[in-house]
Amino acid sequence: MDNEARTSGKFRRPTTRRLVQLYAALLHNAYLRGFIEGKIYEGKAKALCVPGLNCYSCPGAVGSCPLGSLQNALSSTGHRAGWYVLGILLLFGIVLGRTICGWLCPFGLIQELLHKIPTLKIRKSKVTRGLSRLKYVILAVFVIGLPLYYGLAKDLPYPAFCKFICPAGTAEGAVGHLANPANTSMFGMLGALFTNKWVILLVVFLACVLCYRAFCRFICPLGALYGLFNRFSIVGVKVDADRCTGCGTCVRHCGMDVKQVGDCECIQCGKCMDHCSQGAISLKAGKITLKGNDPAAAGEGSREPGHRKAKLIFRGIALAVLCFALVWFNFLDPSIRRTEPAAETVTVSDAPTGYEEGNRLADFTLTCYDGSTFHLADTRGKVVVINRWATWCTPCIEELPYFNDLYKAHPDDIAMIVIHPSMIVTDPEEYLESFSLAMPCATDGEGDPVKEIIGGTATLPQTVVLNRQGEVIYNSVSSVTPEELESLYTKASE
Amino acid sequence: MVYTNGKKTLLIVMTVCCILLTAVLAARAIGIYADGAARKAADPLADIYTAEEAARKLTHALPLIANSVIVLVFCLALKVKDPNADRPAKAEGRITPPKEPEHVKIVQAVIVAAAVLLIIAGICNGSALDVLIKGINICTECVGLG
Repeated sequence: MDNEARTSGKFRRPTTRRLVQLYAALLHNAYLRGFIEGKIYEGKAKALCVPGLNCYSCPGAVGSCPLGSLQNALSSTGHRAGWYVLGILLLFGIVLGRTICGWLCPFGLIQELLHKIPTLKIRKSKVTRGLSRLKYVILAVFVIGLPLYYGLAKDLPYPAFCKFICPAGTAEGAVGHLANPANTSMFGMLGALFTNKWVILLVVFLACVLCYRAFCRFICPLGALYGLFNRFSIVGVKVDADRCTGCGTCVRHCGMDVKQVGDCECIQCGKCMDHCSQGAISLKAGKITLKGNDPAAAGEGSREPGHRKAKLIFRGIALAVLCFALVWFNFLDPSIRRTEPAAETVTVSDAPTGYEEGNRLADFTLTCYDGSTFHLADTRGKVVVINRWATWCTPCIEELPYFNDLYKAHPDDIAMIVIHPSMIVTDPEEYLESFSLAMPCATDGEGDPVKEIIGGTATLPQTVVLNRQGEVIYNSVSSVTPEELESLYTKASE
Repeated sequence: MVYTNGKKTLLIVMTVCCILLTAVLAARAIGIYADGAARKAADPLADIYTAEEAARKLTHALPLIANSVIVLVFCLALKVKDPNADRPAKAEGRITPPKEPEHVKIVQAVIVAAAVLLIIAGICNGSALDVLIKGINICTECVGLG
């Protein structure tokens, strides 16, 4: 029976594909607490890449975005080859191909829902077919070329597609966090980059309203990558050459810019099955027919009690997996660190201990790379600047020279320390050698105690400035300019 | 579906609403940025965007958003839809049925084996840890925050 056109009275029942898309979107974003608390999931499951385009900075994301991970891996080529991400992408590609785009990708679902808004629609034509080549250029330049160049030539992590284009990152990551009242401090870091990406997001959304899966067809480099595997993928839409008459009805009814069913533009959604009068098209996983319009094979088969029972068992397992994921990621996962709010104890100077403006930081000691010791209690009378950075964070690396310049301008009046988190990809001490920094640098202790003391989150860079009395006058997660640093120093000196 | 002039008008209005809403939201963001950048030039500690300013600008766009929602509800209630949307594309003549590539099973097996080997190599050389670290930290630049 026609799944897409299945109706029951006035209520249009969702198709199987739509249910699978919703299921996959929920599974990709099973950390529902993140949406409430405005934080991201920090568990070990993030070592796994998810198949669809889903930003790993989305508050609900429980896995890593394959495209972001690929750019990051290519940027790190100078240190170690990103075999892991390449292996995962190969596996997804050969097993599912662009079935991921049609059935599993959360951003694909968003695009299809946007296209449901009733407006005049732009139909596919030679222009759209030409535009569909654009995604290969974006893949080559923004996902492979620029990250590889910056990684090898400048040793800088440079996720060019994420930074300049990715609307999924803006919608799920940026807007996902900014929409939460707990993250109003994040507005402080917004500037030209956000304005550009916000405008790109709006344009992409409008394009998706007017044109079926516009992002998927013209821009998405992940789709371009999976498309290369489409002809060989284990799961996918297959055409029975003996039954096919070559009438072209399937291609004419397809919303994508396909030339043939199953080519690199085909998202394997299976809508063409409903239009094929010969029943020549079916969705297969190896030799198993998942969906087919052949009355002899699937249509009749679906009525068999055995088939119905298998379908029921499969749905039961899928539901159990979803329930387990929701419970595990939100309540049971031991790797979720629950940070308790810092206990506010009043010190002798009336300023409570904490990390908000006006508070005094709790004392800490760190051993620096040069062998010296940074003891916060010994810095009284000086302006204190604490910066959290990481080797994988481009804005952090770009602002390090500004801190160095400030330190060199007031060496006797500033106590400064630059702290790297305890989780290390590239040895920070070795990494900093080329920077010739004058200020003390250290790695946070096991469990990142200084991060807890200064109210750090998963977001970097973070800068904290204390006045001569040791009170916090600035604590912000954002990049700073030399002018801002000089103003902060003046303010702290008063 | 009967495609009356009234329905066609509604469809055009909805299209215009979507385009206008996009333009207004983009212009509001550019406006906040322009004002904020000027403020920041005078005071380096000033923020370009603030939650209050964003909320204020969004409030100004509320009438347009409300109008778009009303038109959308009408469109959905009347089941207005572009009749061209579901019309098949122009025929490009007969197509040749896609042939299954040769040795497909061998290619699949080789790629699956290569993928598994690469994943194991990646776990051993630490590139899996790279993915984890990148995933559990918010890359502000990557998501467009700044």
